[in-house]
Amino acid sequence: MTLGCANLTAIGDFAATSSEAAGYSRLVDQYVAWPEGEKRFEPESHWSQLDDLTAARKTQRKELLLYHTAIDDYMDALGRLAADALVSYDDEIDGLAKAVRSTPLGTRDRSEVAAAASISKLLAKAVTDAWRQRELADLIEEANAPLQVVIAALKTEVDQGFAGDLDIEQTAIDLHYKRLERESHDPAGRAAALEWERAHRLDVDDRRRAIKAQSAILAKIARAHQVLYDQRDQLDDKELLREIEDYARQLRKLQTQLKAA
Amino acid sequence: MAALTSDQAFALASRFHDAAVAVGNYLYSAKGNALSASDWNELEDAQWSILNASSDIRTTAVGLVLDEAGPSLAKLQAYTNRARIAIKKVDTAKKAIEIATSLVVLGAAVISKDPGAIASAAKGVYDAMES
Repeated sequence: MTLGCANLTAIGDFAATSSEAAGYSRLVDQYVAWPEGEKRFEPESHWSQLDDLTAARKTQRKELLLYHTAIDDYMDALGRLAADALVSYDDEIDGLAKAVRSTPLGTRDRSEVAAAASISKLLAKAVTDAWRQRELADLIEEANAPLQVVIAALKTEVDQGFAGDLDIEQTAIDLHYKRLERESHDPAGRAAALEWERAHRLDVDDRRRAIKAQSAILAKIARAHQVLYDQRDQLDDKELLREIEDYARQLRKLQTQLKAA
Repeated sequence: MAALTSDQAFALASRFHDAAVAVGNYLYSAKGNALSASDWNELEDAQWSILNASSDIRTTAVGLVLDEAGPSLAKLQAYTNRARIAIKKVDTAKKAIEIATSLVVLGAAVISKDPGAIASAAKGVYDAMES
């Protein structure tokens, strides 16, 4: 199939929604700041352990932003080609990939960083060769494998790293307030502590909802892109465009949940 | 031996989290109430160290390469899990502290990514449970 002037608004919508969702990196900032917040519940004698964790996470931050940026920039390019516009790319992914490679996380899985770097290379090629809508299928074909790797890497961090923090925090809240209850003999003080405990637990619940939404967003982006890849030779097929439109709608809904949490 | 993946690091970290919960449950049980202040404080200190080791392992243990001659990941997980169960059942404060402290040492060894320290600390957990 030759594209050139087809109406691919659905793909453009999906790309724009995905780009916006992937660009939302507030959870990364929360992940990096988490050990500092954990100090509220832990005895001061354990704060140095938390400081070390913060230092490690500051290093890891670049890696997480690399994945976010790779998905965001790629989706931006996808949307532009779907609208038959030129791709604009500032090689931010490359800069982040170089930064990650030079960090002490030398033993982390390099294939994920390489996947992000290959998306960068592809976007640079799209700029240099002035790709337009007729090259949309090529972009999807070449990007799908590394994009799936990058999305999976980020999703693993969200599902395990970010959500794991909340499991630990839940335990820390539990232990902290049990200790306060053990030490306090003042009924008013106990009642106040109970209120604080409830507030902290609600806060954890909110963040858990955001993490679940982020995880679902990444899963939907990966699935929808796979659908595009599987049908890359008929991107103007009406049935396909309806399916992609539906993915875009689901993504917008999830994004609202993510931002509300 | 292949480097630890995110999934494997997370699974090991979860075992440490569960062990910290077990120590906490001990502290706030009838057995914990019967502890002397110094034993209680020592065990509480271990509980926080094990909990923090869980976060540390999840963040930093990806890529850890375990020594072929040392304990496997499966063994580390099994020891940590057995230690958690043992803490629930122990009768003496001394034993609870020994097991919890051995887990603190194992957590620190994993975070340091030192195969020798991991092997020795894993043996420490085994010894604490079996002695």
